[in-house]
Amino acid sequence: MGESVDKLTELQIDTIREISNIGMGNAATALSQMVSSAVNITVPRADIVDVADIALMMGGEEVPVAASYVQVVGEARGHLVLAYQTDDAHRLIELIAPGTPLDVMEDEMARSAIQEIGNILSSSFLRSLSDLTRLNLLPTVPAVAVDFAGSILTYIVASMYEITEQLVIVQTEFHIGSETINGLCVFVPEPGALQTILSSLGVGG
Amino acid sequence: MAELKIGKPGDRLQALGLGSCIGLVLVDKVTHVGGMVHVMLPHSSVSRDKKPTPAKFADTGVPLLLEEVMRAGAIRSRLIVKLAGGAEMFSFAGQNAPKLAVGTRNAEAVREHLKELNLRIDREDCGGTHGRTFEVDLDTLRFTVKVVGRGEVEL
Repeated sequence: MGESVDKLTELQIDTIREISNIGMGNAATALSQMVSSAVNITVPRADIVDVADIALMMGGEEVPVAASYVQVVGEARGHLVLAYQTDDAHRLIELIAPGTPLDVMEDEMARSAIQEIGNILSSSFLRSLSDLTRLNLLPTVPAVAVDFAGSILTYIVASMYEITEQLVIVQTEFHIGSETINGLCVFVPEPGALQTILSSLGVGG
Repeated sequence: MAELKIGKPGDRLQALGLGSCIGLVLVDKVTHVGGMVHVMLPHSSVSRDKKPTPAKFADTGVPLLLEEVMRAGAIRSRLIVKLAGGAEMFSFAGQNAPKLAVGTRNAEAVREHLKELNLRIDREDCGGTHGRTFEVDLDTLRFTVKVVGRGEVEL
């Protein structure tokens, strides 16, 4: 669809990747405090992607995913979505809250766990972004959805389309003990917000 | 997303993983020639593209679909009209309620443009908070809506 943003420089994209790494590192520390084993979160990919490709990054339009969604309020507004394929979501819940009913499709407890994980990860991600930029950034309480990847991700894209064209996609891997759990973090800055963030890091333009 | 497809008997038309988007099908009930458009937003005026993709928006996608199915040989008075989608995928409690409601506005816009074209809706499955895969088999004219965890139902 050609809405990908090509105005960003390599330096700016590197900066986004770096702050995503730091943010996810902070989120991993927060998550480690909840589980007995150490959690590492790596960011194999941080990119500005074409909106049409977003569902494919979760394995296809009809792949069932569990997602949490927070709005970012404060000095730079945006939207933050964390999504996992349901199998990954179940393994994540089992590691973080052993004994919780696992089926995110059926169990309110499992959805609450996804909401709480979303809350911890979003808050710590934004806290580290706040520290780096000295901007005040806060998440709202997460909303949760379990549905087709295409339905959830295009909903975010469509909701934002009228106000912005910039999507920052961060692919994440959680390493907990010997397990690797894949997730997707989508940050959608509102107009001007990405520039505000980059400027405060000295790479505005 | 933002696609328009025309088909004939032997073809299947599908829109995978609709969230707030709408899948709209117009098909000639005699010849089974038809088409599907997958619209993402209500109005093309919001586009920042110099040449917006018409199938992406309800105001341009609905008339375009009618034009294309008629060009393919469908007769207007014999058209079956069915649509699905238009959900709000996340519900926020209280003050966080999104003011955007893009799914609801998409469904309203598609209905409005169908009405302007004097096309009567036969069946629709819109709204709610769940995604849908919408499909029609042009051999049998069987329309189905698939929902995560609930399987497939005929529309």
